[in-house]
Amino acid sequence: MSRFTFKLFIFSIVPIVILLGSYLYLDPFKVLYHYDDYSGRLSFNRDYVSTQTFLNKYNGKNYNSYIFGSSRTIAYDPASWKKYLDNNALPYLFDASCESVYGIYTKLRYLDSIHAPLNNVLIVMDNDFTFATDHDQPGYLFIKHPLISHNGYWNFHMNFIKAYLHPYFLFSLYTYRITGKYYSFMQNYINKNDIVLDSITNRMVVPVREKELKDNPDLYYSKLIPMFENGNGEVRDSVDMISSAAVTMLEEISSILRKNNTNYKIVISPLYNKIKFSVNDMKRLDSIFSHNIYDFSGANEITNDYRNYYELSHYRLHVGDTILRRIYH
Amino acid sequence: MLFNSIEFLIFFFTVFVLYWFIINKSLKLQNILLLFASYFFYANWNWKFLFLLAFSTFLDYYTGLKIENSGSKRGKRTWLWISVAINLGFLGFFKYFNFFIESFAELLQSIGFQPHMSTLSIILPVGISFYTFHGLSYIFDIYNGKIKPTRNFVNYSLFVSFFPLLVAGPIERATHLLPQVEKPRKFNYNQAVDGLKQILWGLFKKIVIADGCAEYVNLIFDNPSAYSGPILIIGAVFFAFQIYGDFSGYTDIALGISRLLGFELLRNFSYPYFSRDIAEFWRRWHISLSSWFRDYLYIPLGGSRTGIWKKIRNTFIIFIVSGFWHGANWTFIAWGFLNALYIMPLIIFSKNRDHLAIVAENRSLPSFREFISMAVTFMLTTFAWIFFRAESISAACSYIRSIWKGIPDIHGYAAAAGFLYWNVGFTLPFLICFFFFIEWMGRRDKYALESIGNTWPRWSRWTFYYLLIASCIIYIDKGQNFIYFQF
Repeated sequence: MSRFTFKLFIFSIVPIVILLGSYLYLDPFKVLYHYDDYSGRLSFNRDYVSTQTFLNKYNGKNYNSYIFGSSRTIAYDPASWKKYLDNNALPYLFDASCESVYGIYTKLRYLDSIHAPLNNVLIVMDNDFTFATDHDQPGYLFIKHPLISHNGYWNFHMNFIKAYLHPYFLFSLYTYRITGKYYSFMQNYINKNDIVLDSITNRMVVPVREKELKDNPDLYYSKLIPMFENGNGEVRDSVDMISSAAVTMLEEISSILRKNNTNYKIVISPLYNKIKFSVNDMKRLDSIFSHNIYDFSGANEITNDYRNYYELSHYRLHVGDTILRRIYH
Repeated sequence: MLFNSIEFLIFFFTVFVLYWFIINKSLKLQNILLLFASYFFYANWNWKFLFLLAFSTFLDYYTGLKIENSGSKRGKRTWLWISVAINLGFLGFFKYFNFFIESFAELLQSIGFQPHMSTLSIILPVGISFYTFHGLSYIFDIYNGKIKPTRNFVNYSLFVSFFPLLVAGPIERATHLLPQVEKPRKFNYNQAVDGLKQILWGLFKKIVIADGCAEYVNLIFDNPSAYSGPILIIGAVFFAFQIYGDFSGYTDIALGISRLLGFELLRNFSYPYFSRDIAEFWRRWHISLSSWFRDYLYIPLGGSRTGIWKKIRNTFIIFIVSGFWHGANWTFIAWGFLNALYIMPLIIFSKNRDHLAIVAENRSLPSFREFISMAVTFMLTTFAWIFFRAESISAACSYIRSIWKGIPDIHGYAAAAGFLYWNVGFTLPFLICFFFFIEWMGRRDKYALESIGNTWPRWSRWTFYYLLIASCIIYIDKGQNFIYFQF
């Protein structure tokens, strides 16, 4: 019996030691050690990167203006935003993948708790992500930085260890590391193109994509036209999304912004699905944020042109510039 | 609680630790623990049906004693029929009531009546076909004087409801399992290692092969009109792999778990797709059910020691009853009937026992003739599986018609190549080839992995096992229920 137990133990422990050892050595998600630059190809937790970059740089840079929202904030260049702000504005893009009202609230709560100046705030809301959840989400791409969420480091790191131990991930990671090439089976874990992050403003850019769009936009969109045709659905109001817990968080956000005398604006994203933000939800937002809401959802000149989008989900930089121009003039 | 779930892993780990480390000195406590665990396992499906299981157990235990104690042949027969009637009554009610009502209504409609009959929403208790047959074999064996009834209710209950075999077999015999329940069990290292290897191979069969194929089988069988004839053939062949991987995988896991607990269960599969004729296939497929019908139906009907017409009649009876045992649908009866037709020439010309040993027993490869025989047998069984998988007889006929119509269409083959390339990809076909390669290499053993790798260096053997585990983890997200749970 003891021989059996011992061998079974050894059989089980060998892969665990090898896998955990390689995880500690490689730190594939960049969540174990200090990094100055998070740019790369591997899919990372955007919330963690945004928070950690902020923590690394805050003392030297003294940020005082923040953009909050999901990956759709890629359309808002902090440098462009700065043009509409005071001369002393130091903007920082504090986004997260599929950012929720919970994420925006906890980030603002944290900034307020450390007495960070909140001179300007731009909140980008989407009708599919912002109110889809009102609590921390599991999964290595979405779980919030424990410093902000107070949900514990153990739980946070377990999400990454679980993701690392998935055979698909291991296969994708090691194939990429050995060959240095991207294959379609890696798509869930490794980005096709390099993602470059500005180490000061945390702005995210995909240079290859921007170059393709600049050099030959017709070629770029010829590959995506079937996708856009399928996504051209009817215009309609979406269902009410804002839960009572979300209302409480929105009120807290409003309270923090008022307390800091913040110059803030809230943008509802122009998504290609053309689903109009719910009337009831708009009324709630209006009442909480005193009409500082700018709704670009539904069918309009932005959403009617697929060339305003990188793909179905993300609108382009020039759209962000247009929106900024409109809301600040 | 599926065998391939984390819940089962935790459940079994707890049972294993208690069984071998805490109460290993007391056989009585070990059996009580296993009985309690079995009832817990069953209650996890539906606790209400525990009462049915308990009642069925008590009925057979009691009637077994009554048969033994009856002084006269008539008294024994009376108790036997009471047990058979109640057991089959429950089985008939839960499994076949709606089928009979619907079939009777359809019959009346076909001769011009408009009957107003309503069916009941009856839930089929998991494993009822299996534990009913356990109990019946016990009663029959007592009646035939093969065994004495046990006077220990816990031991008997454990024989009926032992959790590895409770919901999908193999169908055990009291002559085989009860003595193991009654005898003290000692931990055996080789038996436990064998058990773990068999569980691993069973998981690979179920998770990788069966669930991997199920995705495409469901796609094709759910909407056959959308696919060309050659793609429908792919669907049928994938179902042949799926049902074998699913059921034999379950059996391997059940046998492996039992070995870890010191039990040896009956073998249920013996490489059926390497059979050279249908008779051999049926000696290698669901062996515990085939032998049950042979011993308790075929032989009492006269078996093969009668005239040719009675032999033909008896063969049709056991195949049709076997088909009906699988489910209350005409498709299963058609499947049984088709298999009876296949085997008929072998019965008539007394060729049904030509292939008793495994193919190419002392060679690495089969001869050309053996290869052709295996291919033809596989094609025949695959054709019959279409009835087994289809929702109705008309759906099966329509599926076969579409295959037939699609055979001359050259574009259909291009579509099939496209389906394999774009939808299925290379991984699953590669894993199926690997699976059959391992099965072929291990065909002389009780299960494919029994001796493979035993002479390799440890690092390569363990790497092989790690790769099997990794394949299971990759495919586990596709999770499907075990097909035979519905029977």
